[in-house]
Amino acid sequence: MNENKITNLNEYKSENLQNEVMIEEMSPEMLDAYYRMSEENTPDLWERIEKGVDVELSSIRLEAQNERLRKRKVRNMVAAVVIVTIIAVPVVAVVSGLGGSKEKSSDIKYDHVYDGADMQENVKDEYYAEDTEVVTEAVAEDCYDAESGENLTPTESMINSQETSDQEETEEEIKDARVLSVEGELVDFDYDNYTVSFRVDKILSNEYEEFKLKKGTVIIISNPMKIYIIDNAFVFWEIEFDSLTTNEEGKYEARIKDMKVPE
Amino acid sequence: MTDKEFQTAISLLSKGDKGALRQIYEAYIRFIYAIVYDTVKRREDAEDITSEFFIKLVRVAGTYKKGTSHRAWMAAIAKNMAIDALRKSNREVLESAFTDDDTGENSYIDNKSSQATNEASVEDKAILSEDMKNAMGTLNDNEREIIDLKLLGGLKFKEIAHMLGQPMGTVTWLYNQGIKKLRRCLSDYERE
Repeated sequence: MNENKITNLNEYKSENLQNEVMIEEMSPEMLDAYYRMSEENTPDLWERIEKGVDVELSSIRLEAQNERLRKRKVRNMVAAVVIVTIIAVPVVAVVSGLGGSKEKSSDIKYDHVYDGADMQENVKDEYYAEDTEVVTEAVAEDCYDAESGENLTPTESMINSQETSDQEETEEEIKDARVLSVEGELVDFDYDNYTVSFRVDKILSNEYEEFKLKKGTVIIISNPMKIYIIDNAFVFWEIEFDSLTTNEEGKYEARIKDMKVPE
Repeated sequence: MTDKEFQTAISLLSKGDKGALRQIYEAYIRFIYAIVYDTVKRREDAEDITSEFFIKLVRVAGTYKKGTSHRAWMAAIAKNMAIDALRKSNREVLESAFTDDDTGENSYIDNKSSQATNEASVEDKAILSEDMKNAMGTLNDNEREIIDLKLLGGLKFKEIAHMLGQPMGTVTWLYNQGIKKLRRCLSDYERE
């Protein structure tokens, strides 16, 4: 039995090409003429390429610079954020899994919403509490959105201006921001007091030198915007967040507003 | 230019070194121009696209993967750029310029031929560039492109087949056909 026998047509062709097909070759004279012809036909484009490259290089440098700035900004933003998967996810997961506790879970979640709504209500109340004439002037002068070109209600205008000033503040805060990022598991849930205890399994990052944290540390959360931790130096810390958002991975992220040892 | 030399040059180029681009330009301008010209078939367009290719090389230098054939990589970029340009301009390709016509001249022959004739006449038994141009004019598009890719770019048949999306057998056959045609046209010059 011939083991080398080729049964497949493609295989045959491939073999045939490798072993049997003769490749025609040019004589040295022909090759020489071919290369000479090719050289003569090719224009000298270096000057225009050089000019184009100068423009391209400056464009690339500018883009790189912008990219660096963008990355730095993102890094700062990330640095300003603490992953609190440990906090919010277990709360929602456990609470929604327990019968009768859904309401409490909702209460916790709605606290945020109401906080925001209350703030807006307060803004409205304060705003309308002012003299009516002043309100009219404010509408005429300030309640115009430059981007959309639309007139805004006094409340929208006020909220917008507040957002702008918040952004400015955030930009300043970001400069000194550090990262504290941990993962872990829920160990206790006291739904009478809306308190969650959480044990740290993994410290992803801790740039707070003054705050010592180790694996096994229990974090107590009595308010999603505020947590309590006893660190490995047995210091009791109160950490307050000023924002709580969901990142692209669906994890909760919070930015530390203040961390202190309560008196 | 060897793969190693190209790697060094492209690495420098990715950092904005114009000298490295000059090296690549010197080594491959003929190859790239031929690829582009074979596709767009218009000198002005070929010049524009070839210039753009080398400018673009600055931007894509970082995407070159070590260990891959740099010639095939550049050829693929140049070919794609030429095809894109052709699509954009929506220009009809003049098939007659490169048809398999033994008597037909094509636009590849330019006014430089007389200068070339003078230079070549100095060398005994050398094939005149003008005759080579005429001979190349007898090739069809595929034959010409494959010969350019093989001789100017030094690409392997496998790489050419991959680039043109044709079976390797077809590529080899077209190459052989092209060479035979050139031989027939230039038989007077060939040494027996």
